[in-house]
Amino acid sequence: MNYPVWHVAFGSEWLIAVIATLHVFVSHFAVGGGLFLVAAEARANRHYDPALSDWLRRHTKFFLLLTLVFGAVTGVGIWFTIGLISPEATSNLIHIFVWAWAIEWVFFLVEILAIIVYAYSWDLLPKRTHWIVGWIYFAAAYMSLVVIDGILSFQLTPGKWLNTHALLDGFFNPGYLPSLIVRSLVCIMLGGLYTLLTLSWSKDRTLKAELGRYAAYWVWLPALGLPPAIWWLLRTLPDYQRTLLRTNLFVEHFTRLQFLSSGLLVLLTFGLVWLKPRWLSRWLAVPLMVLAFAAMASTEWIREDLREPYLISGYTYINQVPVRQVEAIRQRGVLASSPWFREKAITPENEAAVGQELFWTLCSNCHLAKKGFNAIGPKLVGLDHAFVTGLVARTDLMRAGMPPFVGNAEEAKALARFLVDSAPKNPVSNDGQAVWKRRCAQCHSVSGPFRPVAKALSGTSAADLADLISGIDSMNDKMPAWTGNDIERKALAEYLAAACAAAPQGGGK
Amino acid sequence: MNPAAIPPLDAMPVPAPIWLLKGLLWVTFAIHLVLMNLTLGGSLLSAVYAFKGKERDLDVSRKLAKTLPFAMPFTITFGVAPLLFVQVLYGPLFYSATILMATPFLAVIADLIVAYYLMYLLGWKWKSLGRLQGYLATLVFLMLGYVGFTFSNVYTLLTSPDRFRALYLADPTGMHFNLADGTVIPRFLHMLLAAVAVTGLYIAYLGQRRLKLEPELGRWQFKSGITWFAGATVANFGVGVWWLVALPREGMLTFMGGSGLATGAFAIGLVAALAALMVALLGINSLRPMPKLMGAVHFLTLTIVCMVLMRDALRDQLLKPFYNVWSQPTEPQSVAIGLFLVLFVLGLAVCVWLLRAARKAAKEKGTRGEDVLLGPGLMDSGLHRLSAVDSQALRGGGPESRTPGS
Repeated sequence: MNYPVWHVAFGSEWLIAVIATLHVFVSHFAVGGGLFLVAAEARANRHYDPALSDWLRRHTKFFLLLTLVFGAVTGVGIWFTIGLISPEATSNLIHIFVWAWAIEWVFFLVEILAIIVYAYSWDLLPKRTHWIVGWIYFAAAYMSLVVIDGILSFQLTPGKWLNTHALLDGFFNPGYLPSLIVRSLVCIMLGGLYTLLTLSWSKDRTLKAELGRYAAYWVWLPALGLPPAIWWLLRTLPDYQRTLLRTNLFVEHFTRLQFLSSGLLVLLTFGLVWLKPRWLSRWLAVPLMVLAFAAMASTEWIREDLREPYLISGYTYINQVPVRQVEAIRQRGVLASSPWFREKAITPENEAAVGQELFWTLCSNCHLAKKGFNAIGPKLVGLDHAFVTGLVARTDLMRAGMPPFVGNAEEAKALARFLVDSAPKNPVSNDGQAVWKRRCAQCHSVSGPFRPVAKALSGTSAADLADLISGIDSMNDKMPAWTGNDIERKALAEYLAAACAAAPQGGGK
Repeated sequence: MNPAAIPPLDAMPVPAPIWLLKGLLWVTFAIHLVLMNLTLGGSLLSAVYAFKGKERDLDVSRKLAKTLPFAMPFTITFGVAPLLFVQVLYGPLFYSATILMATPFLAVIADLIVAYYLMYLLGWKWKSLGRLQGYLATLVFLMLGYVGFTFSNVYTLLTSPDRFRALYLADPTGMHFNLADGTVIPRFLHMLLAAVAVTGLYIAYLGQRRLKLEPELGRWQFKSGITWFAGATVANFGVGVWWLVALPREGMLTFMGGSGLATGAFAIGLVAALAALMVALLGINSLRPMPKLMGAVHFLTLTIVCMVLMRDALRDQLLKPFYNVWSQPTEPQSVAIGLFLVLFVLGLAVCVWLLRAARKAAKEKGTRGEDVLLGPGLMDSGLHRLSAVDSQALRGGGPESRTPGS
């Protein structure tokens, strides 16, 4: 709204998803891997184990190249990217947390100097001093996590800050501690997993067996702490966000992927590496890394989706509209509120073009228009302009956790015009279930968790339902007017009558 | 002119006094400049010396190449800090300008990652690269040059918010550079020549350290470095004038009495640059060049500080019709500021301890501290001195002699 919108042809959501996931996968290793280095170094010194010392040097080199270059620069990359695609929220965060970031920067400075000295001075420093340098690295790296976790968890659960605007309320928000625990456990697990990866390339079978078993501890043992920590984290979410766990389809899919990949990861590490450390090979280590990446990526995605429709919960919507400005923008209209529109008024000639600009401004943070990931057009096949206008005006009632539409009635029509034009012109089925999916399922389930209709409608005949549908907007102003034809209406009524009768009772209101 | 196309100030007040943020911006940016000069200029001169091809040239080229992976992480880290403070102070302009050139701006990240890895390749695998050394160093230089060039575009575009809307409507896919602004090229060249000058002094410094053991080579290297420094500095007077006359009238007048601070910084910076040049040239034939060299370094540091202040004053002057950085509402987070300052001092103390420990150990082992901390890769530090076979032998038996879990 306040800022120009970067038009990314393949979807700006991809940019942040890819950069952030890659960064997170390396930066958590930068913390946990540091702890592993000092722990393993102590072990090598205690047992006078030159094979382990030798491997540690090579692992440190890998660690340096991965975390200092890729980890650090992708971290800057996240920052660049959020500034480009979410400037409003980035500005908010910088204004609230500039000193937290400055403090994190101090830790980061110590971190990079320490890891360079550590990696370059294996043969130069006395053993004990070298080990202390390793601890300095880990302490600085962990403290940078302690700081950044305050900002990340704030976005999801700002808690009292929304009323007080006090820094400490924002930083030590309800989700801070559980989130820090989850991240710390993940750091330790990644410290062990990356070890298995580099170790699997070693030709020293004894070392592989010994260190492999030790590293496997680092994976499965902290994993036991994850379920209670995640449960605690979810408990800190406000109700409307927790419902997304059950109602947002992406969250459902990614939760499934998360459980599957992390469960398999822990089982394989326990069963194949810890119990049988001699089995460790790159054929096992690489798939373990893939599973870990899948678990991490899906967790990040779930976290982002649970925050919907916000970038800072309760303060800034995901499409850069500040919550406090919604009413003012609605009254003035988007075109009059933003300096970045070509047109200042909507005419029949420019309606679709203005709709496209509205789409880029209000929707493109999460959606594409015609095709691609989360594209809207394909979801609107078979729908008419009037109905889509009704949907546009009610985005905040939809299943996915969408922000409210902040435009006026004319702007809703213009956006709907562009969206209908973007929808494929495929023939559609008039089967009752297909009609339900097309016209009702965005906001309702029959008997599921999301605004179920079964309880209210069970016992109503198909004929009565057909009458009800035709005047639905007059019964409830949150519903858009029925704009389908009579064939669709009757098919829908028959489907609903049957589905509601078959649905388990007590599941709706 | 459409001043309306500047996004409004953030609803949250600036959480610090403006002067503090400005001060931190200046300090961290000045350090970033010096480090950036070493990486950008280092890669360029490493390529030049590599192409010259004589043994003594290759030696300088190698030393520069080995400095790169060490200077780079600090260049980036000291670049991040001013970027943070710029976003608090100039957020509405910074975000808008970067969005307009989002594609080349974000490409900086991919470019940096690749350039960074190439630096390690260059520094660590120097010997085995053979004739490719010069080409690889050139590639690194071009990739780093791209970063500087992009930032020159961002920071000039940032001062022209009256053009934001037209640029956005012309192309919203973030593909703009700011080449319509005649100051971009001289500004970038000014920075590039400064990088060569600073690297020249660094080469001279490394040269004078060789004087005791290899007096001839040391003297040659010292002269060579000073020549680069002097040549680039003289050329930079010319490019500086080009930049100055390319500025809009009100920008130029800032340095001609329009602003006391800017005019003072300009005068002192000029004199200090001239003094650095003179002192460095005097050192060329001196038997003990170190004091002269350090004199040049001090004068150059003063010049860099003045340039940072001038750059900042120019930005505020050009933004005058649109944006007053000093008039933003502030609400200092005193506790957080205090905590930051305390941790900053503690962090610096830890850094000093780390450097001292490494230097002391290096000296005890008979390696020069500089060689550990200013360049050699892990290869040189004996990372692979113990091969797997050696370690087996040391352990007194094959892998079968131990049982897992013992």
